Amino acid sequence: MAPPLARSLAVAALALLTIVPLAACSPAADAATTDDVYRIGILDPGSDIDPLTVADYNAQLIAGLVGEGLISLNAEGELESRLATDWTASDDGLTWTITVRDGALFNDGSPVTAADVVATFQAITADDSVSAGKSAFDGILASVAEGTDAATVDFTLVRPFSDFPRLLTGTNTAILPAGYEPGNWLKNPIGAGQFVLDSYTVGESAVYSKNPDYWNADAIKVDGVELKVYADVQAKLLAFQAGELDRIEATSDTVSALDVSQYNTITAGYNKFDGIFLNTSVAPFNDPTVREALAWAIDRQGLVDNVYNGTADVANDVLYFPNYPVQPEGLEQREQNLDKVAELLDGRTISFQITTDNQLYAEVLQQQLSAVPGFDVELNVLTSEQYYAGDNSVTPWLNAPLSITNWAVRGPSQYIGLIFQTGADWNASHYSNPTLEAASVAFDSATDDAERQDLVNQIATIQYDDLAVIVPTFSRAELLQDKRVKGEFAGPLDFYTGYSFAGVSIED
Amino acid sequence: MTTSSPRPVTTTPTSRGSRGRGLEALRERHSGIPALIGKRLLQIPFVLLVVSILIYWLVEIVPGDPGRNALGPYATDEQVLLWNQQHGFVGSVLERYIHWLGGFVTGSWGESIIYGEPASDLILGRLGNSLLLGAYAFVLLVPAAIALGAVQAYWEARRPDRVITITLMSLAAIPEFVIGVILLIVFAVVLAVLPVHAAGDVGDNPLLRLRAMTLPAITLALGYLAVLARMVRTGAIESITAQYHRTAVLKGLTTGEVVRRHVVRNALIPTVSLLGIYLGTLLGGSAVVETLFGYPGLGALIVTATEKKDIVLLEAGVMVTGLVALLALLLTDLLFLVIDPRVRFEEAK
Repeated sequence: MAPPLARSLAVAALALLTIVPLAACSPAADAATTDDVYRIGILDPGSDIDPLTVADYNAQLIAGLVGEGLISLNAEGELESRLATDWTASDDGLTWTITVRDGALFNDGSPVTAADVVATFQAITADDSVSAGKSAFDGILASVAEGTDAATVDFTLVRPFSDFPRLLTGTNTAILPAGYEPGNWLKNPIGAGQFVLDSYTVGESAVYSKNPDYWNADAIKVDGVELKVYADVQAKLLAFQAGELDRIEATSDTVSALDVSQYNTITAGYNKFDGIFLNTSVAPFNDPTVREALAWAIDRQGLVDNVYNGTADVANDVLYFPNYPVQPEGLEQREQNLDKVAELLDGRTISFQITTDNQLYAEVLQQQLSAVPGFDVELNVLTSEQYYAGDNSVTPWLNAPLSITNWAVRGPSQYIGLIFQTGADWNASHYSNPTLEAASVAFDSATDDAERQDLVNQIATIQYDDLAVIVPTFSRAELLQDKRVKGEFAGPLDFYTGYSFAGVSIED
Repeated sequence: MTTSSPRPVTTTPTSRGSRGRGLEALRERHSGIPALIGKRLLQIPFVLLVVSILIYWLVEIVPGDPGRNALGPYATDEQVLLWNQQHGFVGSVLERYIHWLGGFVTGSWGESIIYGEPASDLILGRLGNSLLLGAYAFVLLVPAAIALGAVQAYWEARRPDRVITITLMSLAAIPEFVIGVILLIVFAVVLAVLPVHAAGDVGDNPLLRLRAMTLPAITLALGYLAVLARMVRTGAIESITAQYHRTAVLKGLTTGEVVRRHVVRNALIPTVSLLGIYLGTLLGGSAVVETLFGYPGLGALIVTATEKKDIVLLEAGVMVTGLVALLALLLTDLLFLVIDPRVRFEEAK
């Protein structure tokens, strides 16, 4: 028997076990001061961070807080001046002249010049560019050059494009110094934006402090931003509950787990749409009646409630976000109508598979359609890596009979160029309609309001009737925010709103 | 009771002389130890080679394209192809594997596909974090397991033994992830004494670092506690009831000596075997715990590398964790040599 030793061992070990964690919990170990630092939970971007090439949302945020573009959008979809103070089109609509803000500086103290703007856009649109922003300018921008004076830049277009300033709010358009070498940004995180990147540890965090040289520094009321990497959604939710984060997306999961009244709910405009892309080149969706039947079978409000937890608006299968200045007129709002479905299917049963990386959306849609006579639906839910894997000829997101893909906010003409145009790289519907393309080109050239309205009606009617893409909802960026944060964000924290923190402050 | 024996055995000249003669006599038998270490060290490269081939092949059959993963869904096919060419991801699997292997053995681990940083920097930095967390968990685990096992052995088949057994078995039945979430809710959300994020901005303050690592370390330790405590309990009971224990008591050794020289040493032999395996696992990083707590360890990095098909990062990461596990096993063998003379005899033969 060994009672004394067993007892001693037990006491010593338990003492150690008690002392170590207690020491760690002692008051002296209180968290580092984060009083005026805005804290955001992100996912590991799993990619290199370079302002010219970032494509992942989290990577874009990491780079975007340091960068500054020429123009941004606010929550109402209006253009806001950033590094450009003025933008005007020539009479023929083929040249847009941008005036660069006088006195704007990069965070290394050097001035932002027209030459920097030219170099940035040349890098984005170069033949060997791998920038995600390049596609926005394909077929539109012919060249970019310094203007007649040192403060202006001339963008020469292939064809008139009235929404060209909106393209300047796109991804990867933060201005970088001429001579910038891609691939080394993390070693020298240059930019002319609101914050300076103090440290970035892969998979851990990114810490920023306010950029005192920012052209609108007086409007930035927070001392800095901290991005904390969470690989797990549950941990991120708990961190928000514990007060370690200042915001979290208001998804159905988070809202059901939190006492929402303890937080401010903030809405900062539209941020994306989840499109149901129907491959019009293969059965069953090469039949227009099947496409239409599907559109009438969807319970759009059900999607808003169950997928977005109310943070979306019902849409009508046309790609005009509700905050776009010109809205289509005269289209009947589609909602679930089982009589029309039955009439269109005429006793047929349509079998197909939903292919997507959005599991919740797919499951809700499957449930809805399973309750409608005439549809036999299976799921093919993939990881993002699988969904986007392979080249364009084989990748699931561009070749499945029905795929669900989310798209960030863009101008209506951009969507036509990228999604609907014959042979476009991301034409997942394999759709072609020269009339639509001609109407879009005419719209881009038009400056008369009545003419623009008429063209929008034409374009929307074609989208509504042809149903290459079903657009049941437009998603809003709705968030829960800690009450210590005051003020309103100008828009979602995204590239097209320029990640603006103007007017936001923290009061403990 | 023999426990009251006053005889100071360890201080008698006879005793010292006896131990000296014994070691002298065993010297030849100890000559087998370097051979054992050499043999184990020689096995390591072969094991790692097989692992690297398996990993390369497995990554190859998983869907996905490194260039596509690096550039995102909006890059064109031409851009993806160009990227793959620039980063050596064209040609046959064998060519690419040999190219990678050549670089790896010459110390050129390459750049991570997804992060664009040297794989060696990423992996060694994360390895340090995982070693730290694993060591912290180990420090919590071992005394707890020994204490609980000793308590159970002392009160064998009585209420404390049963209560501890049921509690530990219940803990063992709960997945690590769930235990972690429960700990987070209690200590981070309700009591607010520990942070959720184990990798927060704590600067150079070691106390804050320790504080941030406490919940993941406890979660890790709890995952192994039940089996280890059970092993200690079994070993202790077997030792206490063994013939050599009875002999030691009858020949008049003090209780402390009996326990130290006979019970503990023999009771810990099976425990050390298990600890060796656990040590390798703990130090190599736990993807589940690291993911839950946002801890930047090697396990979470390897998971990300796997998801993104970052073969450079994945191969190097697996090589390093494999090496750590193999070295931990070697350490276990050496510990056996120290605490169990029978192993030394076997090796000498």
